[in-house]
Amino acid sequence: MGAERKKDFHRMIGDRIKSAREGAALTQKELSERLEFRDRQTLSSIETGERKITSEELLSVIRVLDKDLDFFTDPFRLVGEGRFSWRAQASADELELFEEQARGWIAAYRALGEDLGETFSPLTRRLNLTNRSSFEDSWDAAERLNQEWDLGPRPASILPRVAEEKLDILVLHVDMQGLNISGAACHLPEFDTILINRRDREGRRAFDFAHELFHVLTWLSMPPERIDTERPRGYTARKIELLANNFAGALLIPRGSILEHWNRRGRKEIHNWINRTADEFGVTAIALYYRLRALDLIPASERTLVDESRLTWNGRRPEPGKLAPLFSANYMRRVRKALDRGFLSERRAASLLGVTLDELGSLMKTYGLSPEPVRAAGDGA
Amino acid sequence: MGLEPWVVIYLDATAIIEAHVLGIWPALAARLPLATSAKCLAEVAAGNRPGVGRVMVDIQRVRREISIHQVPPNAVVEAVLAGGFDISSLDPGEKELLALVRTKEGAWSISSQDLGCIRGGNTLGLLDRFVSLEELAKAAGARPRTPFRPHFTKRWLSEMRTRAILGTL
Repeated sequence: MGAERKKDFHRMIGDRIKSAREGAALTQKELSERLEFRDRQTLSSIETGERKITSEELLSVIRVLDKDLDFFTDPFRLVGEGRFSWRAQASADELELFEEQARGWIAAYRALGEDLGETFSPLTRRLNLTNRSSFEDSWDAAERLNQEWDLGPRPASILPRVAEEKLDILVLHVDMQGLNISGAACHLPEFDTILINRRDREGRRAFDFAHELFHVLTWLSMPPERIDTERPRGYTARKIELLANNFAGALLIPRGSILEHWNRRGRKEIHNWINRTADEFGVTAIALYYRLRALDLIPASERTLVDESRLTWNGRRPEPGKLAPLFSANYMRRVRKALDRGFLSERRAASLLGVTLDELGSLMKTYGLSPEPVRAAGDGA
Repeated sequence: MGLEPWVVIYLDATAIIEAHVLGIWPALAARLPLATSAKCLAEVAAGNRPGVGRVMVDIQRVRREISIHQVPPNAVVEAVLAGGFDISSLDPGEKELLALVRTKEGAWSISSQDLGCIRGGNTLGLLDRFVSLEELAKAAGARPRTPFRPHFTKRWLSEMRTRAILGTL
């Protein structure tokens, strides 16, 4: 192990001791006394990573702070960092368990990137919107982003891939283990992650992705709530969610494109037309309806006739054999490389991803990834 | 280290499972002094699910045939601090096995065919203690029912060892 990597390891332990100490509401002096350190300075230099912790000291820290060894030493954990926003109808306790697993996926992506020398862009893209922005501002931002990224008239199917490329974000398609979670965004200083429920209907997936994308692009100016429900409490939280929904609608249903469709509508019955057109755009009928209303296209006389319960198109449910593969190509490529270099063991990779060893092999095959062939010794790395 | 009959062989979960898959377990257990850690055996048991083409491991029989070691927590802490990320990123069983062998004196070898484990072993200065499953089978006079997959061969291990020494892992 290189000297720098060793230093990083002790810095990580120090950061986590500090995080656990603060979580226990202890000062350095108080914890030093409980650990029977000679002085506060010893703990301070351990927390900053200047001084390496000894095994006896770490055992004391584990005992006094009531944490396990992995809490302090496992690189595939996010401790005291990483903020999530869940689009979910689930209790905080249920989310906690799932979030722990998601934290492992994200931490592993970052740690393995560091091991492999695959760094993140030092630049962060953001939308110039604040919670004082109007809905029109969010539509305008979405339309301009559509043009800049060349998303075309029906962006739903390509948006995740393009966003992943343009923003250097991590997009993960996951199973939500029976929880009512549509998606989530996670913010770290180095990169952002969007989690998508791969079993959701396509229209919902598309909208959730665009909604989470808004949060990723406005995290610093408008940090979202941890649980992003359909009816957030408080004016600011409600405003942020409405801006996110308006942005998502405008991004997925560009004005020019929907105008063209609307102008060709003729006398077609409104519910049938919305359901069919939503299918073409890969969005839900409700999302399309609200977009039409936002654009003031539906005359007031016809609006009163619209029955939202008849707007039933939510996209096709993915068939079992046609589900998006778990995680993503980028993610699995990094895992494969790390396995080939020994930065990760097969068993650890499987447990981290929540799959069996056989399933890990199948997943790699799905992405066309196979172990690096054995090179002749000494022919270069 | 040669494979003289008194050399204790510490096996990880993958080595135990693969020895069963290849049908060489009875010979290994009969002719070599085998050992493992409690966590490694628990991992074998956890993955022991019936399925098409899967070979079940008789856990009770393994318990009778090899020595199972409990690894004290301080040994694991010491191994993790000595090996840094190369140990802390391993699976619990692998971590425990490397921590266990560090506490052993006398003649012993370790059989793990995972590159992560080999990287960790290299960082802890244990690289020359690794032995492939193919070498174990040869020492025990066992014939596998199918050829060894690359990771379980002497050649693969030798190449990984060279790469580790050259710093090109």
